[in-house]
Amino acid sequence: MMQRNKRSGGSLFAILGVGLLVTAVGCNSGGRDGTNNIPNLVQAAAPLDFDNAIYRGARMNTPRYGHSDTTLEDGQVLLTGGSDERHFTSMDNAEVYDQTVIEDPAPESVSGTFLDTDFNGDLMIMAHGGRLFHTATLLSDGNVLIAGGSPDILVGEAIGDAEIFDRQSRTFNPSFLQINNQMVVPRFRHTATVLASGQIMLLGGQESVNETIIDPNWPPGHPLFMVDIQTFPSTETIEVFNPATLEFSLLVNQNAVEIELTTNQGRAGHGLVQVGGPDNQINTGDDIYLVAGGYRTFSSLFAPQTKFPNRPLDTFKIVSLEYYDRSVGEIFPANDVTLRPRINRPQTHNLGEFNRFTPDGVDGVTNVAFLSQGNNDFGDNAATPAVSTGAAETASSEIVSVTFTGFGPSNGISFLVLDADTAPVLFGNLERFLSPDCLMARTEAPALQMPTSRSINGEEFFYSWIVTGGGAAVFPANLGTQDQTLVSFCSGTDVVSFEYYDMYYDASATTGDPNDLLDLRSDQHPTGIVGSWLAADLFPAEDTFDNYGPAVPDGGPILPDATIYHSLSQLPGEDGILNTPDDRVLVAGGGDSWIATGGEPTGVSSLVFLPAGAND
Amino acid sequence: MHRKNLDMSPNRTYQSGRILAPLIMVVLTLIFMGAVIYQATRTDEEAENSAQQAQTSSTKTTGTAGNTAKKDKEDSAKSEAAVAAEAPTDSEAKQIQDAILAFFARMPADVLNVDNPLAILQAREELQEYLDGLPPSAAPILIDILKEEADFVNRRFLLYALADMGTDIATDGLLDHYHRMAELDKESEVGHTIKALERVGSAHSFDVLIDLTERDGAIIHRDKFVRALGNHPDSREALPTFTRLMHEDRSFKTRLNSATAIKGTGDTASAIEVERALQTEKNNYVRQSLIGALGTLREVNSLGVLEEILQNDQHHVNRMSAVNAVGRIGGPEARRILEQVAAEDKNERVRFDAQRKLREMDANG
Repeated sequence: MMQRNKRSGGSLFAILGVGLLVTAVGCNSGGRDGTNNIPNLVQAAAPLDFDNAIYRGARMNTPRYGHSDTTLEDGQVLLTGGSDERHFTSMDNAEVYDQTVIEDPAPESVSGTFLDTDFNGDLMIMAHGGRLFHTATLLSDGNVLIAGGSPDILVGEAIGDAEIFDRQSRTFNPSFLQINNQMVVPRFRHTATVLASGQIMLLGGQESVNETIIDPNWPPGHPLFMVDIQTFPSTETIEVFNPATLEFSLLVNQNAVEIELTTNQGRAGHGLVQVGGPDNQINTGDDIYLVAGGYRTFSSLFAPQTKFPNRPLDTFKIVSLEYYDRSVGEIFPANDVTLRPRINRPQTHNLGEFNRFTPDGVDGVTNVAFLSQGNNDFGDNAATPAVSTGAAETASSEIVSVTFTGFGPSNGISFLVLDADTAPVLFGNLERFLSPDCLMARTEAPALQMPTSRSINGEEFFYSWIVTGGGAAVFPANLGTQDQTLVSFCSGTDVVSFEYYDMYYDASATTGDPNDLLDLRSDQHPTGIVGSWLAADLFPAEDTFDNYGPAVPDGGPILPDATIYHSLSQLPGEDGILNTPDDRVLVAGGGDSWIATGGEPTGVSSLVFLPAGAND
Repeated sequence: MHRKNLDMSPNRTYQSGRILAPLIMVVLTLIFMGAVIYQATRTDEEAENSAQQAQTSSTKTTGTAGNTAKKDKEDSAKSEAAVAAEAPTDSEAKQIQDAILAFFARMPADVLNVDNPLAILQAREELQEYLDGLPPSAAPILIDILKEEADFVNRRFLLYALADMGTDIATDGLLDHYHRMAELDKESEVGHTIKALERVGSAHSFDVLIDLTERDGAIIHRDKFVRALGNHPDSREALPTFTRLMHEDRSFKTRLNSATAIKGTGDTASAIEVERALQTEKNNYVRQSLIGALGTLREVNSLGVLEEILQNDQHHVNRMSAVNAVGRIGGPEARRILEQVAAEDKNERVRFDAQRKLREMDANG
């Protein structure tokens, strides 16, 4: 049972205690090693009384949604672009969240401020204008690459000019960091991934194409006979940004041949997750990059003429999986793999982010991907709700276990997908509110992988779980006599709640022993990971595993407003060090309506969420 | 009697008063030319400052690709009585109201259910054009709609339309709206309303912003009021307020924005106050803004303070700011300082910035 663990005092001792704890645990090899074991008091967060709780944060200078968020190396968070007007216009400014500075009056979270000025006191403004649907990627030198996007959700073209945010001066596009060329294919709703080489791979998305259409209703020569239009087809192209040369180029294989996605017409709004490959280690030369979810459009002539989601006549959800094999520099389809369709911000995670071993020492967690969020329908089919209903199918998460035989292409790669059909127990583990209409599965909500730890057999075990909050539950609602399908936004408590996916917690087991991984281990799924989604609502009473005490029946962390298109960003905790179990979550921005493509910015522009156990 | 330097040509007659008058004319001419040169210099600086200070996010609700141009307040300013005299009749007011509401109806909130989203874009553009064409006397009509309008996007169109009308009535309507939105804790709309008050640019809006800045009840938004005042055409009149807040306000954001506002006024005499603030300011973000102000005010006398920062400030970003400021002030003493920093600063980035500044100085001669 999750409780609001009250602090017992002794802040400095707690900080040092965490540092010692991390030292004792060490950072298990194979996962990300994110600590130097010495508390960074400069970046330390202020102590707060309760975990599994949210606190009102600082006020954003310009509340927004649809922005990008990037946690910088020192734990500050950069927010760029976005909109506060239904995505009809975009913002060209940026803000940096610094939790070490206290505003006056201080927010409920005690510390933190949003700063929108650079090292000269001037506003931080992106050099190439406002952006939506762009990416902001942390580079190895601590700066941030801002790439792609569009100025609006309507007819604005994809933006080809990328720019670099200089971390130290807090300026965009300084003269010594100006990028030497435009993107090869200006795009939006793409993914941007840092490769082990330090280059950034920008994959898929949608591009802008000018087409001329002929309207046969008019005679040749009539002004309306031939009309120029702009469309936004999805793209198969992939390009890379080289931070050393400050240039974009198309991705090529070992023979210098350009490679593209295997899906015809490419994909956009997808997810990309990196897995460890045969050596079970992330960021080595044999890594595999899985591309899942998203949608494709018709070819350019018939592609959408705006960037709205949910246009059923001109897009197709994608259920296939493909992968980029870095060792050979090629993209391959994952044969015989069918995933659940997942659009509108699917989330993809590598469950071995912080620890490649299971509690009982099985290697390979870095080759287990977790797919969640998004919805599976455009609302064009009244018979199939956008988010699955029914007790056995809630949440529609999937586990993709990647294994290698060592023989054949890509080292004999093989995929096993666990979902509601193949592993009903995964969904039997889901806790749900009793409300039949508001489901916990959510779309247009980020999911953040956070470090956590659990006491297992008397030893502290360090791993990661996935935290999500807010978003929308989208489902069609018939209008009775009107033969029209709408989608409605569920503003019930479910969607304003937080959830955790814990890969080592079996909610269906009476003992909750994390070592009691269900008997799903096989050659294709050596770790046997299943896990459970848990509601951060302190209910029901059977949550009795470590770190969660007796129920406190006053409700859990609930967002003050329905929130969509917001960001969840990792913050250092009291030890001031990122990637330790006391880390926190900045909930920044957000709008109040999916149907209104964001709607009005939420009344409270930021919150700080302390996940359960963060105060231990 | 021999008189030197006198024109003894037969056609001229020396009289004491006649040499003094031309001398006075010469002196006056020199003073006038000096004033012209000084103003030209300030105009360049102010233009540069305005370019910096006027950088705002593209959040104005216009519906069109470009922002609505601010009306020339001096040309179009009329007395409030004259505006009131042009007030629409009841029937005209009804027409205006109906027209605006009809535009609103073409921009439904549930955007994803609209068959043709491009129609919304067209409606936005047409609404903006319509609002741009309304006379200032229509402000009360917009205020009445604003009070009742449920949709925030529609309200935003009205806010900026009122700002462009620029009348005292419009300003008061915006002030009322600010209070309502502050009461509801709608941070986004508060921000837009303050921006609209800034955009009005009139003497009355200046008074309103000053009043809000001073009011303890509105302290939570004081930093925004200061920023708006800094962008106001009459910002120089707020110098005493900026100076006081820069020194005394407990909110670092207010102190930061006050320093930026002083920078924007271009008042070089304020450099000494900025230097004084630097002696006690501990927040690094505010220090950077203060240092940036010295660079923009370009007072050569500030080089001493900047050199001290470069020698003693432990925060390397502050030293980066100081390098930038020294570079902007320029001159031989600035060069000497930068050369020393480029050779000796312990931080690689600070040295890099100093080297860049020196190259810029070389390139600019």
